[in-house]
Amino acid sequence: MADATRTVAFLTPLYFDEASCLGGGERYATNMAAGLVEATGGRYRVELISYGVSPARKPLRPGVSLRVLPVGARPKDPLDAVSWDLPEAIADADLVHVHMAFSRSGEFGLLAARQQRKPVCASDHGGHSSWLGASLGSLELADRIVAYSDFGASLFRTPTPIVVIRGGVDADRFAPPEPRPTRDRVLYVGRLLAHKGIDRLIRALPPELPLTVCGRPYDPDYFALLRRLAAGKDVTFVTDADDDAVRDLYARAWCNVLPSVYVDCYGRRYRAPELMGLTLLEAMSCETVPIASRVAAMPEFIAPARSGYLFDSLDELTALLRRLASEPETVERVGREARRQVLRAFDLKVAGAKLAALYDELLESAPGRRSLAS
Amino acid sequence: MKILVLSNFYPPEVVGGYELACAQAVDALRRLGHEVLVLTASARGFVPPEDHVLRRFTIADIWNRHAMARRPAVVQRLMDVRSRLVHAPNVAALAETVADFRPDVAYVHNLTGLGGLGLIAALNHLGVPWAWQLGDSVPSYCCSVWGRVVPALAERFGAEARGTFIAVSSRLVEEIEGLGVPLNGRVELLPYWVDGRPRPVPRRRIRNGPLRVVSAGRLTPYKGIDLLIEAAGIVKRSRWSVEIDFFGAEADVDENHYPALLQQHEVEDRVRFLGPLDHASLIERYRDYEAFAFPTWEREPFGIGPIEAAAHGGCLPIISQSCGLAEWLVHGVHCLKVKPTAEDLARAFLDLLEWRIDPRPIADRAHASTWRDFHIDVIAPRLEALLRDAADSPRASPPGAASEVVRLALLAEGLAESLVAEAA
Repeated sequence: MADATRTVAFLTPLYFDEASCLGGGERYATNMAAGLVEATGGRYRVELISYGVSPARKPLRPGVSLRVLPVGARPKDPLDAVSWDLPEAIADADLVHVHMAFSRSGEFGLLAARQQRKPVCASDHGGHSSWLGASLGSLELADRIVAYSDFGASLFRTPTPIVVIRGGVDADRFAPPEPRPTRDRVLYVGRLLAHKGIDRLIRALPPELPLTVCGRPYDPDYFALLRRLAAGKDVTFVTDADDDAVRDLYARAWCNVLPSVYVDCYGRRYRAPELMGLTLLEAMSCETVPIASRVAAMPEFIAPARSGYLFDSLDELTALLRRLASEPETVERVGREARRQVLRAFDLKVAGAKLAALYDELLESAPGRRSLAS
Repeated sequence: MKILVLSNFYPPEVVGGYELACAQAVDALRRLGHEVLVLTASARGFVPPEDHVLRRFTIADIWNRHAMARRPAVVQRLMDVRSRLVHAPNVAALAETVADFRPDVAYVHNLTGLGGLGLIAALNHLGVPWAWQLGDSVPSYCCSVWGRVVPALAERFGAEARGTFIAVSSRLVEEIEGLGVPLNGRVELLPYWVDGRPRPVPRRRIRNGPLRVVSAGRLTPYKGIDLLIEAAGIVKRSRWSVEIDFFGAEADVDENHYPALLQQHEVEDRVRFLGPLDHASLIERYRDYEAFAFPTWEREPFGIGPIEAAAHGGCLPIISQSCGLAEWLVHGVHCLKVKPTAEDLARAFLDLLEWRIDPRPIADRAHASTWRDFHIDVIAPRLEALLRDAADSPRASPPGAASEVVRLALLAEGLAESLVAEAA
């Protein structure tokens, strides 16, 4: 790997770790950092900057490190963490990429980065904890918005140019194991939150099929609801799986279902329940068939009947589950195509190369980029 | 040059010597032919408009302790942020003025109360080179929250605020850097100045007393007012007489503090509090006294009063050996330097009364020196050269847009307010 010549600071209020949060948005930032480094042969180095009770630094993978800044006071919403140390932390970066732009963390990042005259990219991962920046047009402080789906891009209201870079799944890590275990279940992987629509999946589950629900129960009431719904069905909850266990589950499943909703079982509405659906891509990478509700960004990642399936109703989902459980050749064919699609378009190295091209463009045009225009 | 001057107050609105010195420098630079525009805070009362003064800033007045104490804690905190860190309307006023006036250089004075950190950041972002007249520890104030310097903020100030710092004493520079705020640009030392024209001063005779002493400024214990009262008592007990007149507003103590102190030291007949006077009247009154006493606390950055009294009244400066002015005057030649204690002050008074020290030649040399070395017309060419150097310095990066500067300020202010509100 070459010596890094460019350093990028990824600012993210939470990072993918038990100590912070195990969500797709957090995984995405880590993966994109790795993809950028790998795609450029180490020409880029990335420091993920996040927050915690006490300061810490640690390497995550070659060329990717994590720096945890101490928060002055623990905020009510973890997305609103800020630290006086942030301006210093980004001072040596050539470019700053602000993740979770609609949070206080993101707003402070945009402020500090632009104040230091850094090229800035911003991304939204669906977490909105502060409307201050939106009300002030803070996205105009960024040079580019990076969205990971057309759906995600459509949500931005800003004159700042938007670049869509889909994917960011680690296809090396999430690969089908050898020897391959028998596929014998339906699977859900993700946080156990109401907007994920897991209650619908359990309702649609045929009684003769087993379902494994794998994820951290961040909402105790919803988790209790899921357990009640699962009574009398063959549902197993796995709440402490690590990456190896998750990969093993993908390999053992006919399909991985992401049944996210715009309106959850409590009547709460979501503007962007899935900006990508990273666990769908992880499953596809493991040659496990993805099934998603026709919601938000997920249709952009699945070619129906070729690399996965979309459903509109629970009856449709029930029928799909029964079909895949009984048609191993369909699972094999669609699964293979799903992985091919990942390798072609959604692998972190593919996404990293696109990100590198964007950063190169910004860094090469950085001097004299802005003039006294008003 | 087109020089944009930034100051929190500007005559006739003044808090102390900082603002008066600012106005004197402005007048001197205008006499040198420069186009000078002052951007300052709106006045509390009616002030006749002046072509070269824009009163567009808003002050967050956190110095009025009584008024502050009546405000809810969260409001106090918000005002603290606006006073020290950023006040977006002031940044907007600056950006508009820069766009309109297009200065070659900004000559920055006291920014306390204006959200000074935001103003310096805005100048940097707009690509306006600056020179900062440091008459007090303003950079550390601007890097503080609730009175305490934030180390991370101070470190970034050092890294990014690269301009010219014109400090009135080396101890002021040491004080600012000692608080953790690096001054990483060009740092130059220039004393504060006097203005006006010399005229003959009265010849006075101190022998046998009473010794008539004046002190003026903010009347507060840290300026050494309590020490002077106690020293007057010591002198009285030695059967000599020193009469001390104080000019200025009492501050930081309740109304009974000084009357009680006078009673305690039995000097009600020797010490008078004569209230505040306008600057011209004060200068005129200096002719009535033999000495100006300035036993201020350890961190006085300079002290204009003693040299004004020497220049306009022929007064002997009796100054704290640790004040900034002490760096510019020589003990026994231009002044008497004392430790800021009642005993040392009393000893100095007695040395004069008992004729162990002849005050006249020292006062005469102080008088001559102030007109020769400390007059603004002598110092202005040096200020001019520093401003020109700053104006000619290469820019680190192209100027940013005014609209972006205002958006950054609004975002910074909003973030600070959200943090304050959440902590409340």
